[in-house]
Amino acid sequence: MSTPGPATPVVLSLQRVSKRFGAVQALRDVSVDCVAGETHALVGENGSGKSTLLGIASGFLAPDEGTVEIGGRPLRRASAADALRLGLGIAYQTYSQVVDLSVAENLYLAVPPELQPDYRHMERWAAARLEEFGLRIPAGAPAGALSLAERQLVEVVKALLAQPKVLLLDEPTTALGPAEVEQLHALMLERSRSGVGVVYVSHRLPEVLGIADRITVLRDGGGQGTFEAHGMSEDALVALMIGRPLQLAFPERDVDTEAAEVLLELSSLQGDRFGPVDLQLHRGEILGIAGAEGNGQVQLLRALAGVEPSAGSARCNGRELDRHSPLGPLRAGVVLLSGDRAREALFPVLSVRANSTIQVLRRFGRAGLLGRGREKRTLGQLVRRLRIRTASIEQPVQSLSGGNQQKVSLTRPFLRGALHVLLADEPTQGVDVGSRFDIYEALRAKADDGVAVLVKSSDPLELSGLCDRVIVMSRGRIVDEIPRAELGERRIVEAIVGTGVTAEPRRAASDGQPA
Amino acid sequence: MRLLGRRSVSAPGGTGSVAALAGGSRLAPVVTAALVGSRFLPIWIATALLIAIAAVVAPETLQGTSWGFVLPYMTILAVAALGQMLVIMHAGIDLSIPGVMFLGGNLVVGVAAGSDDQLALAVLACLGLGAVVGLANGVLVGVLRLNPLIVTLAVGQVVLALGLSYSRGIANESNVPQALSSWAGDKPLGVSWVFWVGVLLTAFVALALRYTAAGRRFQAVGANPRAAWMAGIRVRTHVVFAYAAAGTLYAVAAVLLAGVRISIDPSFGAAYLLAPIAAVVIAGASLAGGLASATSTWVAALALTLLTQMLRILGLSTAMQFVVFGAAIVAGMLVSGDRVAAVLGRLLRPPEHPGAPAEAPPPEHHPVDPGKL
Repeated sequence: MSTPGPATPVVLSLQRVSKRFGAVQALRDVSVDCVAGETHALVGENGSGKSTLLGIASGFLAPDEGTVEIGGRPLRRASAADALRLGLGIAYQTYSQVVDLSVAENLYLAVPPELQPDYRHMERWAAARLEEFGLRIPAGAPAGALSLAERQLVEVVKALLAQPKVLLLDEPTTALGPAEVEQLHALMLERSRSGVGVVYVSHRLPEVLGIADRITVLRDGGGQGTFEAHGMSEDALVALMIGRPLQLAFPERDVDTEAAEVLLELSSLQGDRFGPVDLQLHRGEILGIAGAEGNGQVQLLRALAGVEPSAGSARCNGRELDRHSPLGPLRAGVVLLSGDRAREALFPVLSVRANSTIQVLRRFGRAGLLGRGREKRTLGQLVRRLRIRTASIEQPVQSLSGGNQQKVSLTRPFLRGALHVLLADEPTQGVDVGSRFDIYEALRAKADDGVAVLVKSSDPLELSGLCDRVIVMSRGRIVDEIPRAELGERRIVEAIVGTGVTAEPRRAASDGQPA
Repeated sequence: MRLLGRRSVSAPGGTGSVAALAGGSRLAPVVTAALVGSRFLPIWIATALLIAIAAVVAPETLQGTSWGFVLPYMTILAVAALGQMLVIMHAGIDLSIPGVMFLGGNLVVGVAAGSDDQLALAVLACLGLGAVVGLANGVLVGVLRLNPLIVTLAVGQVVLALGLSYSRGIANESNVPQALSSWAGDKPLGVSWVFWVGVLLTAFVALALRYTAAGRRFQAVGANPRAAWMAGIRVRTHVVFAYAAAGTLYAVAAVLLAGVRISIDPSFGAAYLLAPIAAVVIAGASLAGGLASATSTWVAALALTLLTQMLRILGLSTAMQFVVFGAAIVAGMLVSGDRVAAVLGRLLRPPEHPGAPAEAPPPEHHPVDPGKL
């Protein structure tokens, strides 16, 4: 698609927008235009100002300078209601559904009163809308029972039902597997054909290149320019985002793991939404788990960590794991890095110090007293090694960025003496590009120390770059295993798509809990 | 303060950041420590202000005889508040204090039966009662997962009722043993023993939380029980312990109050329902759990007691005293703890979402845009 001509109306226009938070210039003189019928991607690292820009466009934040026009009419003050009235729809990254209400009720609440059906016909109306958008999600199911992927799709439908002129999508595919991404993109394409402008914020460059007509790159609060997606490459985009070519995105893999001894052996392991699974994990290898979201990958990891119940056998170092509570696996040297850091991994209000050493306090103690000096020295080294950006180890982790928070939870396996298996659930979710490499490096370092690392990730590129071997799960079972020699994003995606497409939408109604 | 956020900024991939941190900002740790401690700061400032105001409008408040009243009573409040603090650190609340203190005080009188020989036994009985009631609260809240607000109120009610019936049985004995009251009246270093007990307990709790592994775990469970469970910590044990230790501290407060008051009246301990909670909260504790300071709680107890004393010396009617006292608590909550921390957190946080580019590279290098439109 070429640059839209002057005849095409601009549905969202931000002109010379600047925004400052305290001493930090979040946005500096940025201009973006989205015309009807185009998909306009907004890319940039975490903290480059994407979210601030979206906030200003949607009326949540007032720009210090610059103007916002929606559908040709100016947004005169920062008001989300005004933006909505002018024709702006937004699907949030943090799902905004009321989980206790049904899907139908959520959709009903999302549309303006004049478009709302008679309350009695709500469910039939909602079912028809879902059908229209090609989603096989039961309208009567409570929103909380949907998988994250399904909730994301409902979120988009919600925004579309208000018939916006421009639709903002903030990282809509974070929780989606390739099959759902396809579904979402099909939905978007259809809309843009009907003249809706779509502003698409994503960190997944292949996706962006696949769907966008034009791409605006942000870096450090400044616009790096708007480009035709056609003829743009990932490398060029990355170079624009970070200002230097990303030469080595993944640490090197050099150890031959095939010959190494088996450290973790699962036989007929099954639990909620997965299994039976047979799997062998070798010393020193990083094994990736791929699959469309909600196919039991997370449950498998959590069962191994003793967080969720499971039956069958899991032997670590030849001994059966006691999986009744997290304590058993921990004692056996099996450590989980939870994907839900704020809720499950960290103590947000406590310091980096308290968060890091919580499992190894005995190491720094004598007769129950803590050797705070020794603790500080050990931790100081680790903070430098993992490149954790914190003013001091006394800083509360809630004031750190996502990447640095993840690194803080990574300090725990590094502090442990007896570590055999490291289970990482989406280790780089919400982590900026720079910190990602540090985290990959840390995981590889552990593997080189003789730990078996199991990584669940929804990013095929990440898995192909990081892992020695990747298994693909569908409907809770391992459906494919990709050896090192064949590893590649395409190979993984093909494996997922080939097996995952039919599995996903059908289970929707019966899902007891969100993924 | 913003400076800190910038300090931790560097290029992504940032080998540079470490050097910047280590070399460039030797002050950063000190500043962070000051900021982290700031949720506890307002109460110290408020107390200093209160003393300054008292020195002007009611100088008697700060004279020797007044301290002789203020210090023992602030201690009793502080000890009860320390117990409450342990519970609030687990995002709980304990409303059984008046019940425990009433029955506890009656036990001191009843078991000792006026005899100094029985005093040790009486004190033990009181402490035992506190521990048992706390244990019951702990099991109901921590193991059976009942709502702490309602459960502790109910348990407190039961204990209070037991206290009433017990006090009727010992009606002819209303004074504590001579040894206890003279101990409370004795003044080593010019101040009552009661005061020194409070100082010791406060220091013990403060040091235990900071310098022991158990204290660290205790804080962690309070800050995020789920993450603590996933980290292999026995969460329920910690919650039960918090309530049991709290109950024991209320019993200590009851013994001290009995020593100071000498006799037990029907309203013994009734004042300790709201005041300890107020002390903990205006001292800067987070009601969401995890964060609290024993020393600040002690200072808050001092401030509240001083305020009461000042109002009394100013000759305010009892009704007016309550009005001012209540208003002071609300005002204290407005400028304290979670609110201060929230403001600070906003300033400290390297903004990720609706925020600023703390993670972004410094703006020095600008590469040429390939094919800019």
